[in-house]
Amino acid sequence: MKILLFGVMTVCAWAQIESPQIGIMLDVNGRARPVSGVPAAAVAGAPWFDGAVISLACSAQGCVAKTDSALFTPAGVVVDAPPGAALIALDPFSTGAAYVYFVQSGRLARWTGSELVPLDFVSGGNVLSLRAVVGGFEYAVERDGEVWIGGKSLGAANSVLLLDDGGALLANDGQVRLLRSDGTELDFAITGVGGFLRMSNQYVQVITDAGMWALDVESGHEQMFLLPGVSH
Amino acid sequence: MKSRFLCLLALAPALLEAQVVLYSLNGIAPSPLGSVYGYGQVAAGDSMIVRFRALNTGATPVTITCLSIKNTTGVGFSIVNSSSTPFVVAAGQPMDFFVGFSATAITSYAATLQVGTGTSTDACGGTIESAILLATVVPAPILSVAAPCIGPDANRNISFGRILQGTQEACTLSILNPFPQALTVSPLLVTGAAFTTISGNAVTIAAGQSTSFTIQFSPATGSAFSGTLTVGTRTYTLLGTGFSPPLSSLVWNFDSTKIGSGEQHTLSLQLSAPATVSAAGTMTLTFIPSVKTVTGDAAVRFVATSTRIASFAVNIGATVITLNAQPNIVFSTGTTAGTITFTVDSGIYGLSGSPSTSVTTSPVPIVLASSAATSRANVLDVVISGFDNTYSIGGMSFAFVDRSGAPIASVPADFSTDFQTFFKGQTGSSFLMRASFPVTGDVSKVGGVTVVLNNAAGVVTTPSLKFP
Repeated sequence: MKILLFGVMTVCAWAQIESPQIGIMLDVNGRARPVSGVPAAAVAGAPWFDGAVISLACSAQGCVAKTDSALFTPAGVVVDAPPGAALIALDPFSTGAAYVYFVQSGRLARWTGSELVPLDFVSGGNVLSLRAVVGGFEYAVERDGEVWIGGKSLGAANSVLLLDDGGALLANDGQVRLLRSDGTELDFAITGVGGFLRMSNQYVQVITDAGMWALDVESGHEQMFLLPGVSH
Repeated sequence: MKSRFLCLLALAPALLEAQVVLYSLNGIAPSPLGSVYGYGQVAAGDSMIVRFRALNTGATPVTITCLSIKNTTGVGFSIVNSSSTPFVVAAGQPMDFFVGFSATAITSYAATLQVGTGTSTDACGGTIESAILLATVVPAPILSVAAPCIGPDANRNISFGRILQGTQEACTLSILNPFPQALTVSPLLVTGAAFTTISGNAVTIAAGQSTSFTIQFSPATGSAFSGTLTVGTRTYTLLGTGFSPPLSSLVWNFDSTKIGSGEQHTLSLQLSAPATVSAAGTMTLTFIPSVKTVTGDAAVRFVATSTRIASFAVNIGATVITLNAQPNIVFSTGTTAGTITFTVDSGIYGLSGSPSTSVTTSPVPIVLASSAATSRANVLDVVISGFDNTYSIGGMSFAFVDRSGAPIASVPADFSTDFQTFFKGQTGSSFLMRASFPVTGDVSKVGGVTVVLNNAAGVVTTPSLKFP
């Protein structure tokens, strides 16, 4: 049995080789660019299109992006959307779907991959981030100077990103805190964080005053590196 | 009838004469030329050239057939540059020409300038415009310059060379009177912000004797300076350049003494001594791969700007150099073994010591970024990402184990051709490989795999990868 099995394997093995993809980043001009290579030697590719993206989230299933007036995917699906920035939580349980919170209007919608379906939603605070969970979503709000997920306070933070695995990223006081769902925490010293952007399942873009960073949030691989920039 | 015809012929020269008017030009400004034009005093052996203009003031073209100088006292005047005659001058247009004077005998000179429009057989015998040219040759002292100055050259330039800004340089100049009688040199003047002298405005030199004086060059800034020295009828141009002291030698600070491929490092730069001037320039990065089949690596660059050039600046009195207006700069070493060289170009400010430094990324075994094993129906997949800074990856072996961890078999594979094909389209060695193994039988019995990857620098082994 073993001889037969691996006799076939030896003869027929083949390899597909390609450039490793890190994810999609927003450059300083708001252009969405694919980033490829290995973390500390990454290269940014040509932008998706010539316009500026103001909100973006990507995972292994794809990306959802927002311009000032539309929601779209790299596959070419474009729908009108309320103006301004949006918080986008890709749904790992439903390929191509996402929850989209429109910051300016305070409205929440379900992105099915082809249309926006409005959802009834009352936040009870300033919504900072949201994520899909089995059967729905959960979100973080700012209340009384702290970040809350439901009844749980994560402390004060300038920026928050809820991770699919139940963890969260918080930026405050010159550091980025990676909170794991098991209660462990890793801290990274970095100042001037203005926001997070989900580049892929593994990487989060950390937007700062001085540059664009990427944080590998995969357990055991946690590291930060500077993303390739472009001239203004 | 015949008398009226002769009368018209008599008037014709007057009509032609009125059509050409002579001017002298001082620079580009023309002045009507009177009957006498004086060149003034000209030093013996010197030459003086004056530009003249014959302007056709009429409404029809006129042909200038005569352009001549007749030296009447001594021989010193000559036409040095003009168009050849006959020369047709359109209505309202000029014909310019140049008359030079040069002589050595100390006396007065005179000549007649003629511009005519006569016939081809008697060009200067018909209607002419003319003027008398006068010049006087005066004794000329001989100026010499001692080191470190140089000159005067053919253009009467005297060079003080380049000296450090804020310092001084004195040059001694001598005036020789070569004539058998005393000579008064006047004026004796120096102009120019950086040039001074304590000599008087005039000096009398005995026959065959010389006198000396000094001119001090004091550049206040790092730039070029000019002035004039007037010695009697001659004027010389004084030239000198002040320069800033070079910046002191560079101190290169890398965040680590060990620099390898696939890394980002921080570089900061200092001067070994405070800058004596605020300076700015550029720092460039170059990369030479040690892998012969590779010409470059796009990831080797300053990360924040994705370029290989950065600006640098240092303030007067400071040692810290800013790079792209930041206290340090991050660069990527890429995924190719080779030498990264940083070179500072400080331009006009100069630099003491070497402007460059290099770091070398050595060939290393394949660096793994991730590895995983998955299975599909009748296919086992092993996915590995990383980079090979030697570009020699290909030979591998896959050691499969069953669910209990017992070895099943070791499968060698050589994907060298696949990788070489892949690398041809890349500007770095990062890769994501999915090796697939079709299996006959129950794939679920295969519990894991360990992969050994070879390259020119060594061997690397993945962790034990579990199939789900």
